[in-house]
Amino acid sequence: MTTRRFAALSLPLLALLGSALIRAQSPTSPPPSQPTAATPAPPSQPSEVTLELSRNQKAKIRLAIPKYAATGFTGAEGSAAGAELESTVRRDLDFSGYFEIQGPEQLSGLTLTGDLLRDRDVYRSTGNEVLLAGDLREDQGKVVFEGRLFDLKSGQSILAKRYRGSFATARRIGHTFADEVIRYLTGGAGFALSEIAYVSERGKIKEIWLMDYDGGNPRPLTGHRSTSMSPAWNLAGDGVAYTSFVNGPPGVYFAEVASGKKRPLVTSGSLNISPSFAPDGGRLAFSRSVGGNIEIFSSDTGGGNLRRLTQSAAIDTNPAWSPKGGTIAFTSSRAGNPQIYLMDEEGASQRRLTFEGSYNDGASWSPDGAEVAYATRRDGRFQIAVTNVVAQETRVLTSGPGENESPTFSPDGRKIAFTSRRSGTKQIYVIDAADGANVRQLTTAGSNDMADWSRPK
Amino acid sequence: MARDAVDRVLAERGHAAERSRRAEMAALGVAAVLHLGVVAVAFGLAHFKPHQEPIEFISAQIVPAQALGVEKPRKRAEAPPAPTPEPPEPAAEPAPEPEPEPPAPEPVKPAAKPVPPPVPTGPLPRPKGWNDPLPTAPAAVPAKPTAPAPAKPTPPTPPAAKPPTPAKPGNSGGAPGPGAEAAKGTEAGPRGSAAGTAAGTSPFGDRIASIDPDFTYGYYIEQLLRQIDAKWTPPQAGTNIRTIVRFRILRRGDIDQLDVAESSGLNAFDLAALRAVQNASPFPPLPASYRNPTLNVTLIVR
Repeated sequence: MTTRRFAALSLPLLALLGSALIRAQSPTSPPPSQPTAATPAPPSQPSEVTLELSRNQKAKIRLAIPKYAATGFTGAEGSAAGAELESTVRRDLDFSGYFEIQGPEQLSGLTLTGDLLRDRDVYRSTGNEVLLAGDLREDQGKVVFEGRLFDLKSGQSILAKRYRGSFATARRIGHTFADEVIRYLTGGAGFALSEIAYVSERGKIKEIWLMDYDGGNPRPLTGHRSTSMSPAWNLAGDGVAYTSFVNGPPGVYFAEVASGKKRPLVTSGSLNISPSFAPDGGRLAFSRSVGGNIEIFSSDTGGGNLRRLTQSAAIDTNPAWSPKGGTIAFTSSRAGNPQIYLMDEEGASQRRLTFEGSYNDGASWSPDGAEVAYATRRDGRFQIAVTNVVAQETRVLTSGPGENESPTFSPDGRKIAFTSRRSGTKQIYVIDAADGANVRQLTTAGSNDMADWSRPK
Repeated sequence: MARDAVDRVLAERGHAAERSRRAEMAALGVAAVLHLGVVAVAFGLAHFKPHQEPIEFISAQIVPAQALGVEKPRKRAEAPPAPTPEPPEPAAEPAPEPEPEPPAPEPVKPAAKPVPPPVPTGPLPRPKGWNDPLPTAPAAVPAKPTAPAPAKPTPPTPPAAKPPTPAKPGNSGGAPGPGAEAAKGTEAGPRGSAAGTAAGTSPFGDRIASIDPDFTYGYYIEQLLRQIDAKWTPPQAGTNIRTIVRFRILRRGDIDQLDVAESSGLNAFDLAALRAVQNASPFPPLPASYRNPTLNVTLIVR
């Protein structure tokens, strides 16, 4: 009897199996998804959601970040690495501007059990949408970090990542995870792994330095013990072109970031300064002295195939190649005082971009090529301004004293780093590109200037 | 910025002249410079080191919703009220993971998935709870089968080998074991198939997420609306006007099949709504625990 029942049950099963196989073999058979339609229909059409656009969205994602669990740390070094990793993630997310974060301090008022299962509603009670739970461990002298995101409404997991590295990589692990969180929650690319090249003057010597995007990990790139300036990242982000007086007349040089290797790019003639890479990396724009006047040239990256782009009796300098190619912004005093101009890559269609301010200089493109940031003199003081190249609308982002200049956009276009003397010495600061809010100082040691933010990768 | 490049150059030339005057001091300086140079190089090297130092990206597992006390059953309870007694078509087996993750014989605690009405499919060769939700993944591909789904044309074969929940052996930890099924969308780094090795088991639990066929991710919907709202500038139009647009979100967050499902009757209004969605994209990647390769969105815009 049992066998009969088994047979009865297995028969339809076999039939179904067979039919499935037949269907699969038939070349014209529908995709495998088709057969499943025959199974008990899912509740509703899955993967469907109907929404109504409502006007009062909270502007920021409300993120709860309780203290990470930490286990197995045997020494101070490991604990310090863990703590650094944790604070790096927190600072990165905070700085991104996407989140309204409730950290351990803000969450201290809640009665948490430490059990995610029970705490979900507690986190939600203070408005949180997403929970970031971190777990740190030491394992064979390395730090292991596991970071997870949970949707507090559904309790579903959004993201889970685990990293392992030496203690020295703690910051980088933190940056990496923070970028991942931003990508998963906003769809936007984070830039916590980007770097800023800049000029640091220490004891009358100006070298090119690099630092993390948040000012951490500052380190010299050049050691010419001369005057080096105007760093400009290549698009790959593995090297920086710059101007240096190391061999006498100023020339354009290049330094590889990983190896520190340097080589001259354009050193012929009496003066070559202010390099800017074309987006394809194959060409370089720079200022060059011709018969006592400074004009803009382009060349291939070996210095060959020199092409003159400007022909005015005034000074033309500080070229900035647009990130999508096709256009070069530059400074010219042809109208009597320095203003920002645009031209195409061959020097044609030269046109003036800025009309307000008696002195505009130091153009830097937004990553989407829609805007140009520069220093503008207003009421006798230099401020950072941004002009849309199509609409030609301008907004000024800084105010007050301090000689704000030398702006550069972050890889996602939402921040601008620039130089200011507001604290007495020249230091590099970051503000929101939209409105100049959220000022953050990146450098403190020495005198620092001419920041150039690495390009989006 | 080289605000005044020429001035700087001239100044530098002045320096140079001065330098020659101080030539005799140079000899002394050289020694000092060399020393400093050595220090600087050592300093630099120390700082560059981290660049070479690798970070391992280890795949991590998705935590089951149950771990957070999600009453998943409620949702599904209303769903399968009519559990057809006939064995769910073996075809249900296609259960192909949307991602080409070969080494993932998903180890899952059969009981983990609380499909409420345990269908009386006695001799079914596999626990229903496990396979049940997965088929929805391919099924979800609406109308147009996208690349990922057909990319895995193996589904029919498994039925034969259909092992009831491959309890993955040789796993670390006593828990059901971390599936090699990594957090997906983790293109970021080399996916360590050596998942649970060095890093051990996850402190958050090692079961694979249960799959929710309904889209209940609150954060995602909020963010979606947030992004669209930021780009929505309603044209001058009367009140009581509305348009319905539809689009599909792909796994990485980009969209396609954007169209007007129900026109407002005002072309400008429809176009503005489409433009808002277009400009707001890309959206966040679909959550890792959401198994469908796409999400269809119907959006009412007023």
